[in-house]
Amino acid sequence: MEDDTTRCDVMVSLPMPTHQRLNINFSHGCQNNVVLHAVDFGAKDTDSGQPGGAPAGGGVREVFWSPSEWPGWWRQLASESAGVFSDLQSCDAGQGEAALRLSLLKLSRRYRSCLRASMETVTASDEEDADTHRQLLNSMEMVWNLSEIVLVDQKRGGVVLGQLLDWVRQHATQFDKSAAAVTEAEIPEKHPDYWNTVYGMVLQGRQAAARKLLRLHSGFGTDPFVSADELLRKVPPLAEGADFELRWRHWQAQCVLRLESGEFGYSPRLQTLVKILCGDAVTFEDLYREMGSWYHLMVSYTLYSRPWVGIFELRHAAEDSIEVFGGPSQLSALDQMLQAALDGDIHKLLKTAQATLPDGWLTAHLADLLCRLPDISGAGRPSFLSELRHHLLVEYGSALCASRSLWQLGAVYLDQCGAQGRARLALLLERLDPRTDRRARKIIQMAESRGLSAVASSVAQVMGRRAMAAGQLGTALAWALRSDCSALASQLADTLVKQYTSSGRFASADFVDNLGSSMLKSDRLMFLGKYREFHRLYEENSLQEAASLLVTLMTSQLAPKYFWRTLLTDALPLLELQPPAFSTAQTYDLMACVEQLRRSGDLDESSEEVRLLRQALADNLWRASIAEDSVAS
Amino acid sequence: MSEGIRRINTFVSTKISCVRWRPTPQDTLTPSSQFVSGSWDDEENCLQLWQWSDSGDDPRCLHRLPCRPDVNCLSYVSLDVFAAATSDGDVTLYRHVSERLEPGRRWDRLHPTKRGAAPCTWLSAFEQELVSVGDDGRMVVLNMHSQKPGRVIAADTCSVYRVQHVTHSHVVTANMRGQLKSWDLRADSDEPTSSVMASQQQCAVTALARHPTQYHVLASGDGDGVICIWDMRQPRFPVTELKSHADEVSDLLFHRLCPDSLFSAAHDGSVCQWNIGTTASSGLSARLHTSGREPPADAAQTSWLTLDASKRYLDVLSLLPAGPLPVNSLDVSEDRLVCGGDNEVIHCVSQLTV
Repeated sequence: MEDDTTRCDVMVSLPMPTHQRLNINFSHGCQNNVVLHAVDFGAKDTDSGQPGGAPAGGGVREVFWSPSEWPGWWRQLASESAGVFSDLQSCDAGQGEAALRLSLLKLSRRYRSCLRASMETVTASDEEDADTHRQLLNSMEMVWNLSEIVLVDQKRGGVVLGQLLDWVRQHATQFDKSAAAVTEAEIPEKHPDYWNTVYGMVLQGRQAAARKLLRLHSGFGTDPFVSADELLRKVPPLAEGADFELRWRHWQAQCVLRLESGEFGYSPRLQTLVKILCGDAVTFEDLYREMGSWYHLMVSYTLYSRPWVGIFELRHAAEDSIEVFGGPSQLSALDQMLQAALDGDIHKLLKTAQATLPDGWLTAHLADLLCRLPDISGAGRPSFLSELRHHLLVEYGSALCASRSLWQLGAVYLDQCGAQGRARLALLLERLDPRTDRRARKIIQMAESRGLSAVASSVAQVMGRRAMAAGQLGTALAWALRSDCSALASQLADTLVKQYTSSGRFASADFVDNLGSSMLKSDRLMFLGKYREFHRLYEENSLQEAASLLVTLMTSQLAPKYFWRTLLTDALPLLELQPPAFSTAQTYDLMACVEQLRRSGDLDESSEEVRLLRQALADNLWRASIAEDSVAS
Repeated sequence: MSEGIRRINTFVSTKISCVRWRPTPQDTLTPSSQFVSGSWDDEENCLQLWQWSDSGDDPRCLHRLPCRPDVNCLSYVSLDVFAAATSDGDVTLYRHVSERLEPGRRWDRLHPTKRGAAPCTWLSAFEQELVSVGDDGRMVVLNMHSQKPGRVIAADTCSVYRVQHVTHSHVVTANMRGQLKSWDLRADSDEPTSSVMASQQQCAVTALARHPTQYHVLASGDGDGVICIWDMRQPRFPVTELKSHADEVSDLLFHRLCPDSLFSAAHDGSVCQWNIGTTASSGLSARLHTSGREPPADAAQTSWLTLDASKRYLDVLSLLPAGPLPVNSLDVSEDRLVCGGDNEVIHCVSQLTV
């Protein structure tokens, strides 16, 4: 077997701390990146003695393999079409077929106008490859338009030629350009493009424009020209119904008659023109180069052979036209998509689109629209379509989430993808970097409004830990409370308590005062709150309450052991009060605590402090007993 | 949406974090026709100057200045000069020169922390003075003409989200824990003169607005979408609470000429106009021609503060319906409103009724 492991497409070098036993571990980021960090596999895991993987230094690095920034015109397309997408989701599927098709048609037209608006923006901007982008958008609009005509907007009887003519006129603009050049020329008929333009106008069904061009010819007053002009004038306008077919056949019979009677014998050009009107296949084939594309040939030929046909017959005409242009092997990707749309082969259309277009915009939105159609062309909705739509929307939404700025739009799409979309959104939201407070709040709000509380908590924890690393304990505590993570809150409360022990001041005193019910989230936090309350009571001179609070703090095991010394020191001034602030029971409790400290060896009996403490306790005890006895008696 | 209001939506391909109308001279009633916008959340953000005449056209971008960090706040200091605060902790002054913007004085890293520069979250300007607050909890007083910052007050132990001048020396800050603190800039001490919790749930206060004529009336919006009206002379409890938004309030503004109108924008994508008055026809034109029972001066004196007591009529108009993406900022000039948000659209609304 060929050794595939040595082949790689891209190699990236990363500066890492050099150490013999370091390895690299990775985890997935969003769509287009991985996150790498160094792991020391040589370090032994302390519990089991097996080599484990301890995180080593060097930080964490992200590697992106595709750009996460989209150009301005693409962002405009994404934002505008997201609005249309949301409206499409709220489209009522229960309305009758005709009404549903009408709503879907309107939404489809809105999508196309988004594409055209983006085209205008691209044209207005002066980037180097503006032209390529514009052509791409143009092709996308073409494919969408054809799909709309064939699949969404079903006419009774399936006659679509009028719409197809409009479509061809919009996209085959070469004749407009040459018409402008010809009319401005001094002697129009001598212009090399004159006759091609006339043919082109006729081929596109623009008989009035063709007649205007003919008028510019010097030989206009002569019989052949007058006759040709009359034929052009009398073309029956496209309509539905049996009598249209009758009138049209009658008109074409007229054309054939005049042609065969030799009226145009002296003017080969006019003869070609009338042959077009007669639907002469050979003439059409001769002119295929002027038309430039198989769909133009197909539409024009049908216009002058059987303009009342429906979609089904058009498919045959499409195959014939493709043959003229060199057969299926000569088809470009765009041509393949157009043929698939004409055939109603949604699978092939979407497959080709996904393979050739640079992003999933067209496939995702088109699949979503087509999925909502009522029964397509009588053959039943393809079963694969809803799964395909689901998959395409998830991919598109994920791609949006992976971009630097469009992650909020991604959520709009992933919301419509059921459970899988939700799970994907949860994973992606967690991997977004909450760079600032503002962004973090938005990510958290997005997660909470969708019920992804684990994600919200995790983002808040990240912010809390960052604030802690930056030394901003108050901010960190606020985030810790927001995240409902009691471990982080306890850690912060511990840090604050230790800060107090070392500096004698409370940082964030006003925060702790106003904690309210969030104190309950962590034991250590509760202790901090109560301790602060003790200080407040002491300052307000409510000494009895302060005293009982102190005792509660010690006996209820709320206070950490290392803090007991400080608490007992705080108790000293209260113990010396007259009348005693502590009752006998409370004094016994305090003594028990001192005893506990002594047993665990934390008490330095020889120090002055401890001696004073014991003395004060004893003094308070006899004063309290006397006070209680005298009350009792 | 209300009748008679016209709205134009322009896709701008950047997320808008702040929009501000360029001020017109105080004595004129002509609405402003230029506004500036700042973007955020891109690799390279930008400041843009726009021109909009209310003729049905889209606003036109006159000048686009790149600015790498997120723009958090824009605040006009005078008719031609505004200050921009960024997420790198910088504050830069920009001047309008013909139809362009030129950067001027710049203060760097006003809010440093152990881990780098914290963002500068908001600015408040009063005459020649700027106050900047940031995520490090500090409040920095800047003078437009001096490079060295004036006082630096360690205002809070957590991020301060908003600051608002009430008078020249009285400043109110709002932090992420929902506390509103008043400061006297002339005093030497670093302690606030008063401090009050805006809500019992410790919800961050995310927007502040000052009444244009009665300086003691302050409106605050918090992270749950509740707007509170405060009387800063007795700031123990809010005078009224207005609840219409489903999500965090991002920007609040009293109308400069008709302070009975309050505008609010929120992260649920909606923009609301709150109008009070005793009858439906109390508006700008009514004020000019009124011959009602109460003299108009008194009616304006106490409207917001006596909202509950006198059961005055409160009308909520929705200028922009709720959507999936947040609206970050709004500004009003006479009868025009401009707002923008994360949907990458600038909405220009004209013919407001105030």
